[in-house]
Amino acid sequence: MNTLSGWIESIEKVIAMILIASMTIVIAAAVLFRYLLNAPIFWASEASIFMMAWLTFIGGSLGLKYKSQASVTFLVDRFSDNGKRVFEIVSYVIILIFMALLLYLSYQWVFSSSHQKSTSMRIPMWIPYLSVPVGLTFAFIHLLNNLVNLFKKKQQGGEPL
Amino acid sequence: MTIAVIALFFIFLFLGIPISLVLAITSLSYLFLGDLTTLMSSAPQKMFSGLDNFGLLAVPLFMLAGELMNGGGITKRLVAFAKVLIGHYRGGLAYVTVIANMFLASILGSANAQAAMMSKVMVPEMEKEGYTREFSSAITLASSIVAPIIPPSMLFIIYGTLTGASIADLFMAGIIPGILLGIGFIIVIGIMNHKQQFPKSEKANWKTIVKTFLQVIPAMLIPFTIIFGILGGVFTPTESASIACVIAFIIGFVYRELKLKSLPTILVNTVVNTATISFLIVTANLFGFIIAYEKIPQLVAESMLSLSDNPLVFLLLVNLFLLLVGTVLDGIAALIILVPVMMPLLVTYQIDPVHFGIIICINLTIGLLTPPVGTGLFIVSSIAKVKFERLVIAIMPFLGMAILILLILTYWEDAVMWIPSLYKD
Amino acid sequence: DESNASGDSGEQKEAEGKTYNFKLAHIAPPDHIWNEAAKKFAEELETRSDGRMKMDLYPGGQLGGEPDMVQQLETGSLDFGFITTAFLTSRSDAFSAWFAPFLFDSYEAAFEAKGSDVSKEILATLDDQGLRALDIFFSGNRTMMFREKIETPEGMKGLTLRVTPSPALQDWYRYLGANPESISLPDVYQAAQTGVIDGMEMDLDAAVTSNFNEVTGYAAMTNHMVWPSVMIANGKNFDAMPEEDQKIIREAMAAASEYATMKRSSLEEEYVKTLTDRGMVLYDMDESLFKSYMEKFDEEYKAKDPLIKEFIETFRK
Ligand code: NA
Ligand code: NA
Repeated sequence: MNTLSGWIESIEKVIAMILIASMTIVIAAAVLFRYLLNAPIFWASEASIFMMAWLTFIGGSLGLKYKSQASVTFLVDRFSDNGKRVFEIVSYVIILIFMALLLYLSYQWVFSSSHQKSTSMRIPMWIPYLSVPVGLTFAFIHLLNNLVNLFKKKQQGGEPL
Repeated sequence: MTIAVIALFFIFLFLGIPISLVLAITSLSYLFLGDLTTLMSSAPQKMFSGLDNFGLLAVPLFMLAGELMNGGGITKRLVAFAKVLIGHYRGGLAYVTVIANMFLASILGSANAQAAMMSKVMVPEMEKEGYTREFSSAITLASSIVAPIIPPSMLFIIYGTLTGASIADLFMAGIIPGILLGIGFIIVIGIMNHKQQFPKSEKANWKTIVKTFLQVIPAMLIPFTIIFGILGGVFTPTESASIACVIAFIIGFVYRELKLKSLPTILVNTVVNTATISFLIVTANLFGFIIAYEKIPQLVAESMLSLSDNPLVFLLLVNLFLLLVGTVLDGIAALIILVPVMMPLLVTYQIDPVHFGIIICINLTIGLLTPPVGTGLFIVSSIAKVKFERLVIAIMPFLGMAILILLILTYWEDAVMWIPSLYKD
Repeated sequence: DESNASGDSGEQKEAEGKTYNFKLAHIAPPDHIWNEAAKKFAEELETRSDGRMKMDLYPGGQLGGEPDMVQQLETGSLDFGFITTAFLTSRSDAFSAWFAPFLFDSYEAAFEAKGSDVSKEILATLDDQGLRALDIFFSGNRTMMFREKIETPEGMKGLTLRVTPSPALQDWYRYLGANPESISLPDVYQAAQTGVIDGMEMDLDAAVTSNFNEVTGYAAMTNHMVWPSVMIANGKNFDAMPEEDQKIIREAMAAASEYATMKRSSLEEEYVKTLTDRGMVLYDMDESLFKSYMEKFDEEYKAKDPLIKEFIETFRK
């Protein structure tokens, strides 16, 4: 499980780097093309919005793995380490159940989007839409891995998180 | 049913589930319990469309510019420059902290990022000169809240994309309030200085002044490019952010502090940090859809109107409510959740969305300084190694000043709207 | 509450006794002509059904933008929506036909054309997507607004113009030699103010409400394209209704379409006067100047879809 999650993490990092770098270059190039060459890149804004979608779901998945997404912990923090672990396990179980539902819905949604093309570039919309199920699938694996690790730690005698 | 869902929301929230997921999970629970399962198949579409906005692209781009500048040694040059200007007055280093924060705010868009950067540099330096660690941390944290008020600003970008208000107008409208906050903090230091006599540094000679000034010029290219680029019609705020990245990249090499091998980390950090905001927008868009579907904003508007039809009373009530919200939920998360509910009220009370945006953003930024949940307090107390409770006490005078300025700006609309009105004729 | 729209709750009752609680959404603000069309539609439904059909309105994109609304119409979260043809071209190419330049010289002419067989065939191209495109109304004929006075199509060469992001509209400006930019509507004022764009394609109502006269002083009253809004119903719910109820809906829509189109047409003079009073220069740019560009558009677009070809050939005089 750890290996799979780590392997996905490296893929996500590479995708993330490519996305943010190309987004910056595309938008900056669009300004240059408009002023210097007087020829706007008509697909620049749509393409960058699609890159933003991929960046969000891939980055969101990484953020869940690293636990860097904002959460309210001041109540949970009042409990002992064991108490906290119980809260964490309950949270992960709730999240995974709903995540599974969301995954089902989003795959269904992507497969039913065959009629749609983007408004400007006219590429099929499943290309940007796929970011949702792919990102959520990766996130699901990371979260499951975090949960498994929580149980493992307990067996090892409960180290504080 | 609605009450059950509200209860679930708070249970999920206080369990410590990430807020972004709380919004998605609560939404899906509502659809389940309310027998609105047809709407479920619209959930992924609503999540995706939260991102369908060119203005939002400014979030990763300004973040990347900030990360590049951070790696590029910008903070210490800004501090050095502010120090040679005013360091030799009594309490000089305290004023330097405020001024350097204002300079840095014109490059960065997030108070948390700025508080982290500044407390690493300023707190040890102030302690060395004889200030207490509590006071040093408090002034550093307080003045970091100008970061999202002086442009560029993550909060304004998000408020603009949520409401359709012009991001360019919001940026321009933030300049005077940001400066007022800075002046307010300087006044607080002045009053404290009068009572307890802060230390002062040695006066710098002309050679040093010129040298530090020359070193700071490249960094100051970024705010000038942003403000005059937008005012002069060269580009939109989003485009200005991409140009800021290019400049930051070049400056990093000019300063010889940015290394190519640190680029992958910078890029990945930018994506992960962006997603903490944009993933929240994604799930909040789903949450907002359900709120709109059940016509909750209209209900809120009606009950507000039954309280008072005076816009000023309304704004004061909003301020009070947001300050309370800010104690447990601060900054961007609160903004993303609350703005869709409040939007219809602006039409009802005929309040300018830009003026409202400034008020709500300052208010929610103040939330970074209020216990029990104050992200800014957490960041600075952990970096500067100050006890949370002592930092809370030390921040109080500054918190009071920030709230005073918030109230002044609520009443005095012209202070906010003057600069945006400049390019309107 | 039982606000769910499909009307399954009435199964015990007789078919004619069935009650409905519909939801209709569109992206225009509450004081826009579109919302008047929506209110008229709701009124007509209620009277024609003797109060059995009620409708909740969601103006101003409350339930999302056009991609969201169309998805909700597919799944049945939404019963009715007004969707621009500009967006529908991304669902079915045939809708581009309505953007053939200078095809209709008045709101009345466009209104008449919607009853034609070819227009109905175009609407029917959405059938297999779970959507029932039932009717059309017209508002906001397109004009061109500039920061400097442009008198001929050739004068537009090299200008950067804000154009709705739909290929047919953008292609038209490319054929004219201009650079179409798709800046989002809230940013248009500032972009024109500061010169990011040299002008825009816009309708008069938007110019009045958003004060575009302040940033683009000149408007060429070309009225070169119509701006159809398609009235769409969710396919599954609509097909499940008894025929009389379907008929009530169609008639109520037709009444709303006529009301909105004619009302918009009658407002034309008022908008022209308002903008002139505010100091905007409104002038004509003759259709004949555009002849070669129209031919280019017709040639390119007829080749894209047989329905577009038929549509242009039916209405091009
Ligand atoms: Na800033
Ligand atoms: Na707080």
